[in-house]
Amino acid sequence: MSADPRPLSPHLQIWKWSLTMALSIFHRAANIAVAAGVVVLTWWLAAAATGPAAYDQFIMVLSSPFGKLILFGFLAAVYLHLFTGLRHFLMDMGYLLTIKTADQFGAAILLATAFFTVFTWFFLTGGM
Amino acid sequence: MMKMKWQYDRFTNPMARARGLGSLQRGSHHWFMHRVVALVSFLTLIWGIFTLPTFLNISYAGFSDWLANPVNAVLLMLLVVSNFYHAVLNLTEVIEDYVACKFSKLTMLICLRVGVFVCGALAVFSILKIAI
Amino acid sequence: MAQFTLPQNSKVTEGQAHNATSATTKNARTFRVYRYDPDTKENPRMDSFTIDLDKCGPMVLDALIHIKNDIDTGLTFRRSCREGICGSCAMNIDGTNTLACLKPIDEVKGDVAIRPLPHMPVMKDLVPDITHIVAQYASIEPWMKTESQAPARERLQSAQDADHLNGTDGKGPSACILCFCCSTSCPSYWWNGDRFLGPAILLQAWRWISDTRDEATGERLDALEDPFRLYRCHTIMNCTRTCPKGLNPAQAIAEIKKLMVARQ
Ligand code: SF4
Repeated sequence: MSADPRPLSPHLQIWKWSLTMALSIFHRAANIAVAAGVVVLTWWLAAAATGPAAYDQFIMVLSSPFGKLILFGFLAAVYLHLFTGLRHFLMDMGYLLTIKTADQFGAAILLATAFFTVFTWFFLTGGM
Repeated sequence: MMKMKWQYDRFTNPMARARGLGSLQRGSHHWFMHRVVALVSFLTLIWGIFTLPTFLNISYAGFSDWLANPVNAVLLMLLVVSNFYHAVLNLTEVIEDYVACKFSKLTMLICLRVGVFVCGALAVFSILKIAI
Repeated sequence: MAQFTLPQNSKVTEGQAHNATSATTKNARTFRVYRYDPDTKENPRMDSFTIDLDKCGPMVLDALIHIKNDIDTGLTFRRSCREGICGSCAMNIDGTNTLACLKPIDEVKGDVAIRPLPHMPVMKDLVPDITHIVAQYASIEPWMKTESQAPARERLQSAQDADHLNGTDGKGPSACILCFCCSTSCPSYWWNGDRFLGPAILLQAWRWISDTRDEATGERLDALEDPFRLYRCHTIMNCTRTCPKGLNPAQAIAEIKKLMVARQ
């Protein structure tokens, strides 16, 4: 953009990170992970539509340790995105817009994400 | 080629650059839809993560039987469509944020939409094929 | 891609070290200061100055003035009122933007790193070029716009309506001193500052939108109805965190977004 001979002052390199800044990035990353997860789901459905052989092959991949890891990551991404999304929603309504409340709520949703992810994981694997 | 208003050199008129090519007269609709779709996609996702993984050790027949139930099929379609819609809205923001070059930005925005349409069509078709 | 790293001509090198302390100094402190000299066209550098805190006042600005007076007269920075009302000495101190005159040296642990406001073209040392952001400010037409005939006396407003502008705690949008700490703290403004208006300007836009005497609210909202001018705000909250006057630009932007939906 710039034909400017002037140097650009340092930015990301020197900025002191905060929780709200990190949460904004997490929200994005989780969003991309959830979208990727829905692509995997599409693959699953397409395999099912193709026939039993393709379906069994897909299930084999997803039940492998690697598949389980993906599943766990997906769960965590869903919960993280759910809570950060809720946070964005509340901020849009005009709440949580002071530094203190934003930080407290931010810490709370990180804990909630960890709790719900582990809870759901045990719920699912226990039921299996 | 004409110099674009956002390009900078030492003759740039600051006010011309600040005003750029004007306001696009859109944005709030995208923003509002984003919130509405987010709600639907999450309700269905929560339903999805508690139901879908239980099929991992059930045979093909069990899965297709389950999907033959219209309620399940419709919910699953809703899950896929709303999540892809949500992803388009969200990734559009991400691309607009980080991709500065106008040409690659447009290319990526188009590819994103094409990709999502293909995936969405595939998923909906698959659900219908099994369900019907 | 938005460029997350610094361009080649902006990479910061290690500069000179100056020591202005003596054996009798009890209270030494090192300041690391960003330097750029447009005459040499060399890359910017970080000079360090170790000074005796007993020889200067308590604020970071006092230290800078002491360095300029007694160690390196070439050091360039903006300052005027030295009491947080002019907004001139806005700079990045210890990784956040603030006014040097309001920042006690005590609050910083270890060496005090001082740089110009982030992601701005640097004219010299700590002086950024604010031409673009000032033009953005002018672009929102920050004055009262009316159609109706001017009354014989001033245009009236209730005390509650005035509170929207001043804030019941004195921290409403009209308390903004346009130091641009907030805009230059915002990652969205870093990547898309050519089109995104940034927190400082949006707070000012809100100041006119929420003024009951102003008759151009619709046009003002029209001008902001844009994916870049307004909607690059992702409530990262750096603006509110960094504002040296304790104002809340994030809240003002949220209010504008709410109005955008309310008028649908
Ligand atoms: S809102 Fe605060 S940080 Fe931003 S320009 Fe105004 S006084 Fe400075």
